[in-house]
Amino acid sequence: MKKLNVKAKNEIIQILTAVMIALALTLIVLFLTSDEPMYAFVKLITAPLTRMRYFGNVLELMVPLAFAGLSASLLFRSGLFNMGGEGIFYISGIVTTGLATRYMGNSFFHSMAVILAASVFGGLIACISGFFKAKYDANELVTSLMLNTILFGIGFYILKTKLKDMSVTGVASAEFTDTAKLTVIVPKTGITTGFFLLILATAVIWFIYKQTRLGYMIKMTGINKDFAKYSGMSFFVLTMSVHFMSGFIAGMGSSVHLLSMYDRFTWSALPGYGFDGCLVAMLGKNHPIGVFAAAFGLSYLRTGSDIMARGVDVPVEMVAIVETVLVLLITADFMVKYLNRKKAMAGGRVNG
Amino acid sequence: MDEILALLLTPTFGYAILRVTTPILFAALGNVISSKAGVSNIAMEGTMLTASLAGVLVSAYSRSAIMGLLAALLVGILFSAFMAYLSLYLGTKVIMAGIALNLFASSFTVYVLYMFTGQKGNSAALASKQIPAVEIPVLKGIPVIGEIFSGHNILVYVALLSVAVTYVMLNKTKLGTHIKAVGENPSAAASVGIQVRRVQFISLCLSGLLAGFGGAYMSMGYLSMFTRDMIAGRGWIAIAASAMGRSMVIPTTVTSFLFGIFSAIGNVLQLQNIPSELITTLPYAAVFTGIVVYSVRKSKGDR
Repeated sequence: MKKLNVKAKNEIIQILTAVMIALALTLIVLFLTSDEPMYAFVKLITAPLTRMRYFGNVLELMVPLAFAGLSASLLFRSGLFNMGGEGIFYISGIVTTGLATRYMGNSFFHSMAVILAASVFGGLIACISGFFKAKYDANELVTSLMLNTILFGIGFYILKTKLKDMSVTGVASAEFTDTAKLTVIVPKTGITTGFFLLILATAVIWFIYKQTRLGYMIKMTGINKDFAKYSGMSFFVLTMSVHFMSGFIAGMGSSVHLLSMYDRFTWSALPGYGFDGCLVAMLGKNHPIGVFAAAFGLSYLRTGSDIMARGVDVPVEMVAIVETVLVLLITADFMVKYLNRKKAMAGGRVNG
Repeated sequence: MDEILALLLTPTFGYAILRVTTPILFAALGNVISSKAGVSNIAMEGTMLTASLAGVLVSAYSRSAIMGLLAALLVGILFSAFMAYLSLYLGTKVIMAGIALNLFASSFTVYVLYMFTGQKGNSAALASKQIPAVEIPVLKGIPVIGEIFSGHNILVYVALLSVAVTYVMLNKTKLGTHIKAVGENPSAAASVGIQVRRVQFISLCLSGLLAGFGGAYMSMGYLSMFTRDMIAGRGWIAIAASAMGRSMVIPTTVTSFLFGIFSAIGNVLQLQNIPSELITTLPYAAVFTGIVVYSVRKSKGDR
């Protein structure tokens, strides 16, 4: 037990150190490229806290990032490198739009039915890459990335030909009906009942990891991919389940985000949440609570940089530098190794 | 239909295939070298993108295409060296570092572009140089063949030459033998005194060099400027080509051309009366189908 605590403590030290280094680097970059670096830096760090509306933005943006992060973390944790969340976000968004622009029952039933349909559809789409990986060992990274573009092409075609509202300029669907949209729980923000779904999804995944055989299998297979082979559960079943769950979560994220924040479907390019989800998963070390926290952190950073970019001469893309440094420092295990070694040496024993 | 067929049977189409295959081929060869050493470089997309921006910026400010090309190559090598350092010395998984750096390159290039031009979409404001096209003396005079093979950007010929160079490097030199030894069995390689990490580091840098060529070609040959996310999946198509070519030089080259053909067909069909959203998916669908068919056949063969 004590050993576990030391490990957790070292990981926290690692994360804090990574954050400090990333912030220091941000400051350096701002000094090199901006005319008012200190002002920009303070804006970046504090702006989201200055107004209720800004903090609301952090929580709104956090929802799709966390769903996408959970989706990616399931795959990464099993040692599957699939980046298909991006395409699923788009195509599930199309499914959401198809159903949310119709009239159907009361508010609770309609929105839940739309979200469920989009989630199941997302799960089934994820199973395409999953199936070829599980049965024929087709490189899931490549197939999923190709599918992203294919799904976007198909989705955009459906949007243009079937769902487009001809009365508005640009490509946009008809308006979502009020019964489909999720109920706002914090007035004047986009924080809706969808946030509860996020908490629920996080809890369910945490439970699966902690309490079920599947969760154990996922972890062990991630550490050694031959594990499944020798343990009774087939690699096929495991890969398919993980892919379905991952696609399900991504589809849900897309649907919840659209029904919380949008009046119409307007994405004329891939939204980027699927890829962001990979970063979130890495930042959160593929742990559901870590993912939740990482999504909050990333969302905070992006909201801050967005507000900063409005006031100063620094483009919002600057935030990518901070994000990458964070991800690279957190995924590199040299710091944890260093801390563990130091601990071991202080205690006078190695391999303790 | 006849009309489309007529378009596909012209020398212009053959010319187009070479043109669109070049960046895929560079990146695919780069991935082959790194895969042979057991550290598949999946950051080809990001490396090419960063290199293509470096080429445009340096050529615009130095007023020299050669300087631009050298900058692109240098940035390609540095980008990969950074990734190699992370994965070989700091313990990040090479695939994780690759994913993170690809995403990083996408935003970082926009950031740098904005810093230099005030624009986020493209580098049209910069008078960047292009790497020139060349006519091949004797070949040029031959009908059809001349039209297909002559008059390309120099880098197209460099790409074809790279196939031979990579083949010779991997199969006839000491470095190539070391790379393959390290990839096949690192412990065995180490036991005979090969420095495993150093060989892997070098092969990742070589893959970065080839990606640098690919990037330079994109912004200083294929197009005459940098545009946001201009690599548009070519790095991933290249990785698919390398996977299907089982990381062997000749099969990978053939696969790259196959994907090049589908991209070229896509470009031709775009001018026809077919929904462009669906046509743009054609090369990606071809890669998807290719990798699935390949895997199915391989797994049947294994049994």
